[in-house]
Amino acid sequence: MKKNIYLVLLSIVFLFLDTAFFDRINLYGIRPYMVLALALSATLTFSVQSGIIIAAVCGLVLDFIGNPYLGLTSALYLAAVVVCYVLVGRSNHKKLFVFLIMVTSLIAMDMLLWLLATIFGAVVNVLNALLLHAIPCAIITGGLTMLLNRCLSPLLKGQLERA
Amino acid sequence: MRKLWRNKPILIAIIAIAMFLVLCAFTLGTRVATYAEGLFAKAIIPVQEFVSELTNDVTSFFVRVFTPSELEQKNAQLEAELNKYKLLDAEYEETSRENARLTEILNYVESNPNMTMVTAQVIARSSNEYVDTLTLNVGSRNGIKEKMPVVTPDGIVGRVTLVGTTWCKVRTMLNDDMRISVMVQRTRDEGMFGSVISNTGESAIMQLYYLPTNATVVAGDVILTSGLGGLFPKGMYVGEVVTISTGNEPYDAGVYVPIDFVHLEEVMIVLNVDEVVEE
Repeated sequence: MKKNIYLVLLSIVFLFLDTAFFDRINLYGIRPYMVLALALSATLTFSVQSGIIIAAVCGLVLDFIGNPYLGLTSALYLAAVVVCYVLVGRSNHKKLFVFLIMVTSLIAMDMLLWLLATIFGAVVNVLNALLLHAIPCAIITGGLTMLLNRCLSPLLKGQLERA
Repeated sequence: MRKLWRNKPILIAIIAIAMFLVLCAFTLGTRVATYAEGLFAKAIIPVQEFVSELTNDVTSFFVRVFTPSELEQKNAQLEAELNKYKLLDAEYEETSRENARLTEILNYVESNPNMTMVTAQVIARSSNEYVDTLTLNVGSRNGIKEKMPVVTPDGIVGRVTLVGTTWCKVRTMLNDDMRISVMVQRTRDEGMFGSVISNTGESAIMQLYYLPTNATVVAGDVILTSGLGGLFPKGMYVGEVVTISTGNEPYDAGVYVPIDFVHLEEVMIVLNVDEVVEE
């Protein structure tokens, strides 16, 4: 119950950080994706169900508030959660391995978004998109995910590890 | 692999991904907001407006603290003796800036008496780098409809693509698929305008193309809307030519657009575009 309350409160705060705060406060477009970081850390710390719910619901709200389409952000965030769970799950991999897996999947997600935008007529240099946006944002978001994982882990105290 | 397909949450997630992609396909492009979206907006948009204003206040405070100005240097001298006047001055500064922006908007509205305009606040922006969309705090209740032009005193911002009761979404000129029909003020040559060449954040240089082969556009020429297509009234300021194509570029000229798309806080929507275009 305590875990769910924390996750709901964090989701609401991170939603508004993503839509209002980091939209204005960023370094030439480089910023963390707070909601995605929360979904991934919930997947790593608690269960894939937590990550799926956060990714689906918050992704839809993000699309509604700031994007002209509905559902794409949810789909991409869900894909990131699934990839993260399949490759890392809740087993005790080394932290660097987990971080690298997350950064790689985040970069892949951003590049997929770039590809979709290009298909629909956007003209964006792929190197600029990769070096000046995808990689820095993925590193910051991956780092934030690891930090959140560490902060949320105490909520697991007293619970049995899943088999 | 078989274990993966037997994992219920993963299976549900994969089905959900497919459903969201289908939803995305149905919601692309210009459309009318659904009843569900309107209901959801009633709860979310007021909170988003509050958070957006709070963010603007916080960022303005830090900009003032870290950017030296004559007024702040004077405040720094007085701060040791009169700390409370620094706070009062900070509030005055913010009010003055808002007043200056709104005065500029009012002057623009009064200088265009044939256009009926609604002023709106920007409360959200798109969450990715590839699609530039603004969310405004006005909607069908204020007379807003799809495809209405969105402007500032500095020029054309974009067009309304989605309208709710108290909100609407605007696709800006920074998107590569946004085009407007324009003309060179001096020679009256008509062409098309759109696609970003470079964007510094505070301004952008965009492409002017499809000019007649004998067109003699030069740097400094003012570009206005031509009124063709009926989407933008004729004679609205678009930008100023700064570069001429050498022949190797896929456009005829680069046009300087003095709009800071990243820091837009208020914009205006032209309501009676049909009447103005017919004049």
